Amino acid sequence: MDFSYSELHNDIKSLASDMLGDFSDVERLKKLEANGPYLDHELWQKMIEAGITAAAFPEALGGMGMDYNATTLVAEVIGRTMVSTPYIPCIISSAMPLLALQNRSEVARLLAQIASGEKLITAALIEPGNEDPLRASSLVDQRSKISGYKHCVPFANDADYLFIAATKNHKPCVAVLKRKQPGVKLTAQLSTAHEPQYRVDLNNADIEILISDEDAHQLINTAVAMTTVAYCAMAVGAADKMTRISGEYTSQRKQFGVAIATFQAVAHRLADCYIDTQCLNIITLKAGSDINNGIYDSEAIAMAKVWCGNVMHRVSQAAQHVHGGAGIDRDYYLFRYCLWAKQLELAMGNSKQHISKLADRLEARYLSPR
Amino acid sequence: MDISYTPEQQALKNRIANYFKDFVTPDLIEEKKHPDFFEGGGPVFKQKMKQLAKDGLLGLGWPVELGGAGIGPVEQHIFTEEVMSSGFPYPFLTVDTVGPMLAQHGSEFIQENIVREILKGEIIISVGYSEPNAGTDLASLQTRADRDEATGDWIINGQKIWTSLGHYADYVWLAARTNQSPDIKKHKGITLFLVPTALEGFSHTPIKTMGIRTNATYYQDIRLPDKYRVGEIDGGWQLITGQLNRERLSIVNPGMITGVFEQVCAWCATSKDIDGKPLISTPWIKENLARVHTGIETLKLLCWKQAWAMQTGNPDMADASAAKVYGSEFFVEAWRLLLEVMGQAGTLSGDSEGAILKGVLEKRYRVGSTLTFGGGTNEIQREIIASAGLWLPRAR
Ligand SMILES: Cc1cc2nc3c(=O)[nH]c(=O)nc-3n(C[C@H](O)[C@H](O)[C@H](O)COP(=O)(O)OP(=O)(O)OC[C@H]3O[C@@H](n4cnc5c(N)ncnc54)[C@H](O)[C@@H]3O)c2cc1C
Repeated sequence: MDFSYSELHNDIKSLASDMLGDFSDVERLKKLEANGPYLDHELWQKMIEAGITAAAFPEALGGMGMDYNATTLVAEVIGRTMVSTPYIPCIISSAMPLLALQNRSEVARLLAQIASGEKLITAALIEPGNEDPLRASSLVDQRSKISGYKHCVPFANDADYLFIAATKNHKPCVAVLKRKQPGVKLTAQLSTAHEPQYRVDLNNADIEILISDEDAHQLINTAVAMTTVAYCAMAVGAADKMTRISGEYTSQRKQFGVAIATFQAVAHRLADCYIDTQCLNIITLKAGSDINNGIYDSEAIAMAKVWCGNVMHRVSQAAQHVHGGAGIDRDYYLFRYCLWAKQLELAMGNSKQHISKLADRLEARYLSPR
Repeated sequence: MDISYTPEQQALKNRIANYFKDFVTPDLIEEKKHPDFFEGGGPVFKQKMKQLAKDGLLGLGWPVELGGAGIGPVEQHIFTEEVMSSGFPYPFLTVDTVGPMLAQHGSEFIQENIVREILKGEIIISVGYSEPNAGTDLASLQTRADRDEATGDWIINGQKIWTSLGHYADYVWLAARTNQSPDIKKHKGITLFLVPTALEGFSHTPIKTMGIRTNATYYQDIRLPDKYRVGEIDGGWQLITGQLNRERLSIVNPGMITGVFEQVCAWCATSKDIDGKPLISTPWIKENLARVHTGIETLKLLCWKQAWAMQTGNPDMADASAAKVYGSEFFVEAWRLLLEVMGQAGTLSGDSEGAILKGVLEKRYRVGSTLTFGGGTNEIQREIIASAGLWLPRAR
């Protein structure tokens, strides 16, 4: 049992904290978001050059050979800083799961291009009316053309490739395809967190790489597990930051002649946020550690997402509440965290869904003869 | 970062779990039904304690010089989780909280005699802090110890309340005022003593609570030799907080619920409703179980982290308080969720006709509320988190 990070992990985290911290200056964010949802190209380029994006890729593909834990550290920093980069959909949802198939030369080639920053890929996992990527309605036909639709696909307009969960011969498959082609149509969507998201309509689109059968099943499970825990890690960063922003604000703000943090009701509400954050953090670390050990169906993953949904809701509301009106003012910086909190709560399955998944597992375990 | 047992830790866990499988024998279960012995103290319990000591399980984490096995805090925690989940009324106050304080701060006499006896399973110690007028504001305690300058002995007078195990303990770990000066801060005038309950002037009366028996204890002109003093004169506060830090973790040990939870799940799997369907297949029932399961796993991790942090130094103060608040409030919620699963039959207690799982949950529910205010009330824990974890300004 070891709860500590290696020196290399700590280095990646502090490198990411410094860099993303520099790029999350409030005035800068305001300027960038003035024209709507955006990708921070300047920062993304810097992250690529510093080796942050490809840290968990093997050295042969241009990375540093680090593990999944390294990527969740970056996700946590993103949650703390609210910068707009495609790190999670590109690196964690698409590239990391594909690493398992790097012995296929076309996959290795694509991964090397992602590592160098030459290409950007994003993941299309869900569709209107269905959020289970293992039962996608997008169909790959016998000529290996894909048709169907996906939505809430982050950064699709900036991506060179799409990683799409689909179905072929009634079985799950993954299609990697070029975004710029006649069979792919994007429609911008407006989401609460202001992440650039798109509906993707596919009409007999060409596929570059098709992964099917057992490989596909495993690939989708890996992508789901890694994305889920990445969002939980991002939520850890966001929860801790919201709590600390609130701590600072209530220590300065005076009413009745004293700092409002000296009122027990206020201090205790923030103490509860602290406790919530600790719980979310510890279960997320466990889930990440399980993924690192190759356990993609770990119960801890579902449990982490249960906590993620609950904590995002509670901490976001508490942070707004102890600020009074200032908390929701778009000139102040708390609102970005609160809006993202809702996306983190609902993405990759909400708390109730995961509890009911855990319930089914418990039922099966106790009903199966031992 | 690897949050799983090492093969050695896993083997230790299996070995200990195996040891405790049949440890709680029917005669102990029978003995625990007596209100005075629910938390130990009967003849069967005493014999089991000696057995534990003989098998080398009491002092696993204690230094070898003192008769322990010198294994690490994580291994010690593995042991505690298992012993608690077995249903044995493990005297954690003595072995895991006061004992280590005595080992660290006790006089030579205490080290040589009492500490070794603890590891032999021969001694039980009560904690004597609370008084009728000193609860959360513990530093305002009035029980006094006055020095007899001629002999160097201490003369102790006062009353304590809620002195758990006081009706059978061999000693009371007693906080008393040794400095009456109005000029010093009130927590600076307190000294810790180990008071043998066999001394003349000690007496107790029972307090029956909703769940368990505890005691009022009385100290009338007790003459106590100085060798029973622990630590510096007027330096007791630091020992109190040191002991409470340990108690905080003990009282939220997941072993308190892991065994019961498994029993309830198994009961839900084998019990059928009127349609012949296992209870565990009813959506709301398995959801209640899943919520408890999630809470337990989270609590385990928080406690593992604390145990792991002890290996390298001192666990973070705010995090220890966070674990205490979360754990104690989770227990209260968990007993509710698990009782709901049983329906009204959940209210049938102990040996009653129709009681489910011998009324174990009916009992837990009646005992459960103590933890949210005991061992340092959760309001004070939140104050600690606010100042030590979030650096918020204090009111006074
Ligand atoms: C079954 C049982 C066993 C016990 N065993 C022992 C034992 O072995 N040894 C021992 O010494 N004691 C023992 N205790 C006592 C226990 O530690 C006390 O009950 C506890 O310290 C609370 O003190 P109190 O009961 O006087 O409540 P009070 O201090 O009167 O508190 C009542 C309420 O007021 C709140 N409150 C008090 N001060 C503040 C504040 N500053 N800010 C906000 N809220 C506040 C508390 O949180 C609580 O909710 C036991 C108690 C019970 C019931």
